[in-house]
Amino acid sequence: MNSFVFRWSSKRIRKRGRLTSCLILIALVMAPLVCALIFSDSMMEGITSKYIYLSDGHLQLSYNYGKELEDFDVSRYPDMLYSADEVTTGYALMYSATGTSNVMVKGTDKDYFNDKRLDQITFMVASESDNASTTSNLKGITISRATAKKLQVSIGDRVALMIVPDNPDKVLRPVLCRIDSIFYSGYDQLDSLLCFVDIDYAKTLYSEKSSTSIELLVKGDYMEKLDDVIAALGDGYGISKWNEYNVAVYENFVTSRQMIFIILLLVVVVAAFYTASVAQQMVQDDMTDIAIAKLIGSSDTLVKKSAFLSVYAVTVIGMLIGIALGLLIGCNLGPILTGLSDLGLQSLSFYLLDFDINVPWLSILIISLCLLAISYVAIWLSLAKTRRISPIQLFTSL
Amino acid sequence: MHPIELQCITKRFKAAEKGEEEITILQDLSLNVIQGQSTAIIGRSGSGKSTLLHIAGGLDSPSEGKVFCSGIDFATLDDRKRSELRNLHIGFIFQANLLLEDFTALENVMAPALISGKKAKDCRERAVSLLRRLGLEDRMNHVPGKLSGGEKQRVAICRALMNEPEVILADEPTGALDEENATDVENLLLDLVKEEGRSLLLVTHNQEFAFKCDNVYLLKNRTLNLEKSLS
Repeated sequence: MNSFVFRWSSKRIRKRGRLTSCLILIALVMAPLVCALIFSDSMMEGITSKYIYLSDGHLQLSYNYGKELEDFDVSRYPDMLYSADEVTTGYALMYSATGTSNVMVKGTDKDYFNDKRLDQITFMVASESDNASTTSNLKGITISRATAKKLQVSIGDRVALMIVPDNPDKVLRPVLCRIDSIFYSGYDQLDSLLCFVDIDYAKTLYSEKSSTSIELLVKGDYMEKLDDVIAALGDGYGISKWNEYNVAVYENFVTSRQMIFIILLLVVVVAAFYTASVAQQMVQDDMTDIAIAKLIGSSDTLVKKSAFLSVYAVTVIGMLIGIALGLLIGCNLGPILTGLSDLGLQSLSFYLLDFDINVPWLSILIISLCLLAISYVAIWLSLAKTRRISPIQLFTSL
Repeated sequence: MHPIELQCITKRFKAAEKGEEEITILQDLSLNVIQGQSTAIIGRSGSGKSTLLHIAGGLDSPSEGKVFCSGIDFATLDDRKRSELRNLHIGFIFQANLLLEDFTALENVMAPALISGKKAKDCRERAVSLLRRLGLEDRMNHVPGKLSGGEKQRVAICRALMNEPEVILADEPTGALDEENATDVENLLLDLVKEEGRSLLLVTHNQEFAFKCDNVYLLKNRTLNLEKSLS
């Protein structure tokens, strides 16, 4: 790097004005982009976790080819499987005195809520005195806070379940239950669909074979290699992945993620082309300096290099500031969103508000590289015009 | 081989409006700037003195004829080579001092050497010594906006000499200065050029200044007439 070019560029950068506004613009474009990427990625990851840990597991094993679920031995796969839980699921219409709600009744045993699942969920349970006052033969049920709010019920209240039969031999029938506890996962959309009962009771409500399956949670590394796990489990069971059970949700996530990424990429392209117009304008503004530089022996290439370096350095600095700002805001999205929700922004309650922050480094890297690559090309193209400037033209214009 | 050699130079400018004839400013004009000598060109305003200087420095191209700088024909060079030749062989001084406003006096003087790729440390030593010789040691770190007209012109002279060029091309270097400063700068320029063994091509309408030079030409009716010769 020619030291004159370096000095000239750094003088330009230090000078306030157009380059400062370029730096601010790039930073202001990048910060929300990074924030949006963190938000969408973290929320989608969070929602995915809710579906996996509370609804379907990573994998579901069901009867197939006559292999019995009781024969499945989780201890044979200690490296792969975190847990295997038998569940019975069916659908019902839940009634209270004031409302109704469609729910998926999920029968689980008491070990179902292991540490991983408890990380995803918060329970509000009845106190000893509540239990004493509500002694009855009614079966206990756990419903979500969203459903409780909708049905205007609380712990200890009774609700009726109109069981939707999964077998033509059974008839539509109501059963009464007592609300033992209320849960909250942070994602009302899923919560409002779920209610939990004891698995033995669930088996009396639904046909055991077709409604019962084993939910498998896999260990860390194998989350990204579910096909390997399926292969290891071998034939004999019907095995489904969580995203096959929730095709619409999964496809929605994939499409949303792609669309968000494309839109953010387009925003970056526009910002990158703005840097080109800044470069062109800078050349126009710096005609006197360019004339002097050419007078003392600077070639067109050096002039262009200097202008390029100024704008590109500002683009890089703006980008880095934007990424830092975006990361700062993005990593504190939880409290920010909760605060906004508490302030009365109702629409936020439909979103998952309690999620782990997941920084999508690859997406940020791709967007940053796009900004750098497009602005690199755009600035050079716009500076190509300086070739037409001859020193004498510049002197006559001074 | 002369530092600057002009051979049969004609310069025409296109008419500003359609239908008007081309204007010939210089007609079949030849001039050699001799090594180690100062040459002045005098003439009325609009006679083409500055155009001749621009052509001599490779800033403008003649309509006809050839310009050689240290034996190299400017017309055969691309922008990069032409800039390099200008950088290493020619120093310019203009009436408007044309300093880079964001650079300090020292950095302005160092600029031609930095462009040519010399080490910053070496450039600084040479620039400081030049500025000291012209009495600007306490103004080195001032930007042009903080310097007087005379000081700016002295900085411009230092910058012109920075790369030890064979020839200095000066266009009314004292035109914007008061009488006292003008005389100072005239003497400094002529003394430095002599001390450093450079050639000078000076364009001015100041006859007193011009006749301090070794050779004097009058540019009149598009051609040069010798008024004074060292030989």
